Amino acid sequence: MKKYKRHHPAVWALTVTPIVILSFGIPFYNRSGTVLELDFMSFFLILMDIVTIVLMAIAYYIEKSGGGKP
Amino acid sequence: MNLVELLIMLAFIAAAGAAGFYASRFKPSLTDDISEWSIGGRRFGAFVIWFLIGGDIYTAYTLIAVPGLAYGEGVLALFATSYVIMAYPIVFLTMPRLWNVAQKYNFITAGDYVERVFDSRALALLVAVVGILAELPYIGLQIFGMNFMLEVTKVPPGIAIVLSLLLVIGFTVFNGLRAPALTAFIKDFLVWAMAVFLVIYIPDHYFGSIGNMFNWFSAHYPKKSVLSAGQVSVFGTMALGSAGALFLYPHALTGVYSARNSDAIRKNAIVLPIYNIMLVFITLLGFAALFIVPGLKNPNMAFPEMISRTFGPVPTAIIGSIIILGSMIPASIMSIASANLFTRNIYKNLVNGDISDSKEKLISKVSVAVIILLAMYASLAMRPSFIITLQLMAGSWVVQLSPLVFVPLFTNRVSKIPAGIAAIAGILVTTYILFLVRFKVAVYKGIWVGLYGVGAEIILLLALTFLFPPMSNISLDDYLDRR
Repeated sequence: MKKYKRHHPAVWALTVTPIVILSFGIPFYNRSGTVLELDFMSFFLILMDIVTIVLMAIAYYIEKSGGGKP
Repeated sequence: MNLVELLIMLAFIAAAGAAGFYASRFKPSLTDDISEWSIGGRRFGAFVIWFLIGGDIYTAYTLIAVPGLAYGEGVLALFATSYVIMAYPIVFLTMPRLWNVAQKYNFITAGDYVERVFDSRALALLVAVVGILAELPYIGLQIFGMNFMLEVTKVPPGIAIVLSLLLVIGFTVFNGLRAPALTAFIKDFLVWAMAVFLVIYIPDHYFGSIGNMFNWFSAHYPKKSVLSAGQVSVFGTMALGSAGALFLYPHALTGVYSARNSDAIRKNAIVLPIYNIMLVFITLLGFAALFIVPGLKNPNMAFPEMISRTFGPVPTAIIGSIIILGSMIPASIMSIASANLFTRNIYKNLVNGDISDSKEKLISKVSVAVIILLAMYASLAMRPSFIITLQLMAGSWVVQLSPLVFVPLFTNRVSKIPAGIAAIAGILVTTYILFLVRFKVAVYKGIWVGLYGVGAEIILLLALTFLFPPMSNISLDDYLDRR
């Protein structure tokens, strides 16, 4: 199995994804209206927060399973 | 002066002070090593780190300023939530690697790392100066947070602020990072309880439900309920840049260095975003304040005025006390982080590099007192706009340290000359852009000022890196977990 001195490519992908969505997806989540009693942007940010937690947990699992070991 | 309000606040401050002084029994020191005082002997597990980092990132000023920004600028204030969400993936990628080398070489500051990795005391000095310049106004903002809240009570601000900061100096000098680590438990519990209560009670009390609050907000403030075309790039660049800067602040790095192992940091990169849910709801209280206390000239008074108008004197004093606790803990961690930078990367580099651990600790302890007293003097004697300007500059300078701190975590190809030139150029470009906007705002032509400097850094790194040989002071293997 290939060993990575930096991070497994999947870890890079998982960590960069929320940054890209939040930085460049603003035209998508900048909209009026409410979802589940919240304005859309607040709802979206809470959703992205939870998604980030899940993605980081997957990245953690990949690192622990050997993806980041020398 | 109202005696009941004063007694409530004194009781909260005394409780936090007692916990801070008791902290010497909390994971007591095993040795007399400087790291025991500075970073708790690197013995805090994931649970303590969650409270410690949460305690110094989600500060009292956050509780005042974010609803204030929402009151003044509407949904633009949600950039604060966006950037802290983005910060944790950056933490996941970078901070465990930094912890691994810090533990191996006994680094206590970012300057220690930069000095070793680039074999350059000058670059360590640069990191220390920028770091301390960033922390001083940050501590000042915590004091503003207290001051704004105290304005709506009948407690003389001077008494509460001076007393709480003297206690911070006391327990920090005696117990180092253990003091804020223990008091952060109390502060975070109270802040969470307060935030949950306010977010449920205020919309329900005034609007019937949180959904009705949004309907009212978008009907009466349509321009504040979505970003304008010009605000989209402001929102995005401020969030991205601030995310990059957050864990370059010395107090955040101090929290990271105090972890027991790199795994504790990875676990925190996963669970720290839970705080962001609270931050969203705290932001939304700013919208409610538009209904409850409309027409305020100072948006920073939105949260305190709303609390005062809604609950009356005694509950306001209780919430004010929680805000004071929310200032004491970050002030303690920030002063330790600044003191570490001063002692290790300024005093030892410029005055005397050959000092014992006990002398180093003594200088750091004196520095803690000087830094807090300096911040207290500045925030009580100077205009708030001056401190906010300083904080604005410092925030955009801190991110310019990326080539010195983040880049070498992943490659040894960038040596000290390209990295140093890039960092200095980044600071100069950012300062010039700030000059163009007369140091009044953080945005120039729709882009956060710090990103102009980062752009210059990227260009210079690409142009210069391959003209110089790679460095070999730290092996890439040292960044990996040891098993």
